[in-house]
Amino acid sequence: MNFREKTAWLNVIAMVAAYSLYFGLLLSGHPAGREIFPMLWLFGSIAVAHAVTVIVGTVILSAQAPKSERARADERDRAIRRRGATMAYYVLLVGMMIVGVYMPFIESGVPLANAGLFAIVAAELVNSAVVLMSYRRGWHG
Amino acid sequence: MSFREKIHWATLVTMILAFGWYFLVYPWQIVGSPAGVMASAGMLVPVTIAIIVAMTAATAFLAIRSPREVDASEDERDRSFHMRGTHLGYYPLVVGIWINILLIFSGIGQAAQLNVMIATLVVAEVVRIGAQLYLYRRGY
Repeated sequence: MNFREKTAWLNVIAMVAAYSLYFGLLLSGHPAGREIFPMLWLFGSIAVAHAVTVIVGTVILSAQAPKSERARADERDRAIRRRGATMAYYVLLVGMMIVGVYMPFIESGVPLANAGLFAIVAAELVNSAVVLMSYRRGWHG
Repeated sequence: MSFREKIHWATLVTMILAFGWYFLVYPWQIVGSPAGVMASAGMLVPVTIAIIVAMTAATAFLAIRSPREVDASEDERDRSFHMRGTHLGYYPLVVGIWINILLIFSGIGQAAQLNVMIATLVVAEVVRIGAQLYLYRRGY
């Protein structure tokens, strides 16, 4: 498994762990699902923990990887990145239509903001998962 | 100019005209009131119908003019342009939804939020299609 594939795994695992916790807490009735400050506090803490995990993990993986694998992204890496973003675009487009066009008629405030966050997280997760699957399946652009 | 490029041009021009009309004609003085939402809903109906009619007519016209290209599947270059364009369109969409989340906390009204969301979708689509057209034109 090369350096970029390992970082793709790191992204997917960190995202699933962090945001399963966040949305799991919301579903279990945490006040972050109803009030602004608990939401900002919980989401901020989890987003920072997620970012730190990814940064530290990437630094460790980078230190362990041979120099040849840490070279700039090649044509295939860029094609895989674009493929991931393409899939994520459609997920976010649908999410945005639901959150921005339909939900304002039935919800407002924090639940609406959480739905928006869920759309972004779902799109980013699809992005990372497609990147990972493309490396796993040997997709070459 | 290929069939796909012409379709992209038709989509871009249709979107700019339809949503340009929407944002120019929208009664901004009532955006803070509940009537603003109804105005948005009412105006989105003709916008949607206009886009469907214009795109159907343009596609039919272009298909009749170049029947051999209609059934041709996307080649390597088309797929590459599609992915590059969509990749570029993804970022305005993400930024737009973050702006919307921040605006929710600032107490923005329903109609204003709806309009910000529509503007985000339009910008993302214009970037996506515009980038593809740029690549076709540049002959990348």
